[in-house]
Amino acid sequence: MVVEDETLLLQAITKKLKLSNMDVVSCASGQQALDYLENLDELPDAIWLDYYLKDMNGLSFMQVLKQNPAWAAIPVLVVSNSASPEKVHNMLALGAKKYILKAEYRLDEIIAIIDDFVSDSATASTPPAATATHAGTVARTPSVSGTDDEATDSSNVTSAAKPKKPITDAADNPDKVV
Amino acid sequence: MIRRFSVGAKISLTLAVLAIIVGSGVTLLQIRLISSIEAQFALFANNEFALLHALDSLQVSVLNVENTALFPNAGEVQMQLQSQIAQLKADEASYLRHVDSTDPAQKSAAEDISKQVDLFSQTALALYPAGHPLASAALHALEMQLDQQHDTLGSLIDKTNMAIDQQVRIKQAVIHDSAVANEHTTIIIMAAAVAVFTLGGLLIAQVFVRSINRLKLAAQRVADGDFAEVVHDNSHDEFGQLAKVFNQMSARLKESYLRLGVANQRDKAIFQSMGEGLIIVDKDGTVNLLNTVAADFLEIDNSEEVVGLPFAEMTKFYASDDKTHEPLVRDSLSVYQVLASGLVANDVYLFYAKGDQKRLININASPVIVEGVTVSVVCILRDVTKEREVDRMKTEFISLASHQLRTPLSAIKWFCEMLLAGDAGPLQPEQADFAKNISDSTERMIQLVNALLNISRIESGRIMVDPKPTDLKQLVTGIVNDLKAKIEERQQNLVISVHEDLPQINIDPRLIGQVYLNLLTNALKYTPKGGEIAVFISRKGHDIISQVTDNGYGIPKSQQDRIFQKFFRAANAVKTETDGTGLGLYLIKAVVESSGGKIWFESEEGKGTTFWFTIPEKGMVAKAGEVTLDG
Repeated sequence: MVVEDETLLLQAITKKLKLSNMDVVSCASGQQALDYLENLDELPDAIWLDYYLKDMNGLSFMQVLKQNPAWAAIPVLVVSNSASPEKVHNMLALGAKKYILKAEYRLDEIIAIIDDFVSDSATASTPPAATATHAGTVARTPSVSGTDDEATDSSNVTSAAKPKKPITDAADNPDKVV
Repeated sequence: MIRRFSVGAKISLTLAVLAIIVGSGVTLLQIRLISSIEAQFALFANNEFALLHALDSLQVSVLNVENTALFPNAGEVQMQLQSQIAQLKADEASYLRHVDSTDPAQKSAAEDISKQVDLFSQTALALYPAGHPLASAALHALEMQLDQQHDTLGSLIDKTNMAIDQQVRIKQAVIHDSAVANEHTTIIIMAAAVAVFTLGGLLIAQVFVRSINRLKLAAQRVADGDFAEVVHDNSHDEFGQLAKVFNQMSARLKESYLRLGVANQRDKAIFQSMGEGLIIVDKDGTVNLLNTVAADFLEIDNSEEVVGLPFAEMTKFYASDDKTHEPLVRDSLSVYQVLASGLVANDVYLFYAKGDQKRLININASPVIVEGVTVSVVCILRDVTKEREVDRMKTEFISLASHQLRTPLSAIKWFCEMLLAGDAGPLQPEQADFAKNISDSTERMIQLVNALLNISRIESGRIMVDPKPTDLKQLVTGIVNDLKAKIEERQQNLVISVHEDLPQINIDPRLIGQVYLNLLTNALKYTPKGGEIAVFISRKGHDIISQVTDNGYGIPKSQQDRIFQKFFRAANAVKTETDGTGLGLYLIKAVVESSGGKIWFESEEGKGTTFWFTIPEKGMVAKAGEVTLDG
């Protein structure tokens, strides 16, 4: 899942993730992302979160995410154009896996990071109950998310991509839902 | 003790001692005089006594002659008589020899005696002609005559004897009188000498003391600030000269005093009219002077009231980033640190003006050092509230603008990346080339934005300093490893040499790492392929000194003084390496200096460049801040 309010950036990252054989749920606002999470049949393997969103900031999004036990285990990559120690510290304290500066990374580097997240969570020894409930299903069931008002603005971006094939083992299968 | 006497007493004392010496001399002379009189007397007495003695002998001889004539033994009467008379004559001669012929009395007595002796001896011889006595009647008559002559002679001798005796006594009395008179004269001379000298001394002293007193009084008036006083003393002696010098001195003093007065008034005018606040603090930390601007800044209605108060009690100063609302204590105020250290300090304090309005006041405190001792501190106060606000806004604007630039830059960067990766289909070689150019320029722009952000962070002072014990060798080795690809690409030879006993030092590895990184990146960039680059780290005094040397292009002499300026890049650097922001050295200079170190370089065009920078051995001071260099 990509939560990014900058349309062009959203478009770029979505395209790149798709090219890397991932299913992408693109969200142009925080609220839209939360709605998707509520309604999706299957939870994403990882979330790309822009710190500054038009309707909320990364902190409040993370707080909502962590209140739901089912969502709490999803690895979050925070991407921002500002990385003050305070923000980084707060986000990591709330459970974000990594905090990166947009302009400092190439897309393929970011894809590699997300890849790592997904393989880590798939091979993790499932300590939290949340991951245990859908670790298998997320990987196996390709989900198509509904279309939203805001998402329709850029139809090719906000659509959730389907994986090319079912995923049986996340560790050595590149197909993921992001 | 003598030193405590007045000049008059000293002079009198000196003269009294002189009098005693003179008197003693006179006494000695007198004594010698008396001795000589006595000697003369002794000589005289000697003669008289011999005379008296001769008279005595004469007397005895007369008696012997008479006895022999009147009471003869049997036999040789005439013979005996002749012998006695010969003795008498000898004694007479002896007497005559001792007679002082210059004395008329003695002379006449001697003539009388001599006549009588002749008569007497003729009579005696007449008694026994041819050795037989005369007939008794004649004999008897002659004997009567002889006895009579004897009496006359005896009385003559006695008279002479008494006369001489009398003479001796008179002479003795005269000598005694003269001795006594001498003694009195001595005492009188002594007393007179002492009196005259003492009086003289007092008079001289009086003259001296009067001159000195005149000078003393004049000096007193000058000391009291009355420069009109002039000492009138036209004499040519030392006092006259002293008075002249004193008058000159007084005139000079008057001149200086007037000049000082003018300078003082001028200073006062400057103090009051200058735009900055001014406070002068004494060496004990009390306020000595405060101008109206300073009083306005600190809202002090009557500046006279705070003069004499300790600086810390004059008003309440707070830390510029006051959070606790606790006024700063004495020791944390720079004025007191300057008094203790003698070094200039420049700090900004917060002052709460009426209505809790915040006012930032910059205090530049400079020591006034006289003969190595800080005697005063001059504080210049400037209201920097607006300045700081404008500065903050500028920094904030740069920060905001830079952050905002990152979003479109990310979009360009990523789309370029996808274009070049063929994500939108394969590109023609020229298309790929163009896309690569866009990509490179974007990267440069991203670096520029990053550098701008870092500068705004350093300038705003919001940067966080988080020192931790750091092994510099490890730090540099890590940085060199990150640069490995570049080093290999450029076939450079890089040497790291770290002093063996270098301790871990307490620094922020991100900040100091940035310094090494920038210096090394520059060395790599501005050294031709196959160049030599070396890093040396050692200790020098209380500093850790790092050196980064290359044998590269160097910095042109004419541009060396601008090398640490913002956005400046040397002409040869721009030519050989288009890539670069001109912000790196500016940034690391700010980092090094804010860590209490120094940075400098030596360079020769075509030969290479060496940069040195120091970090204090005691390390960096921790600082809470909002940002780091790479945020």
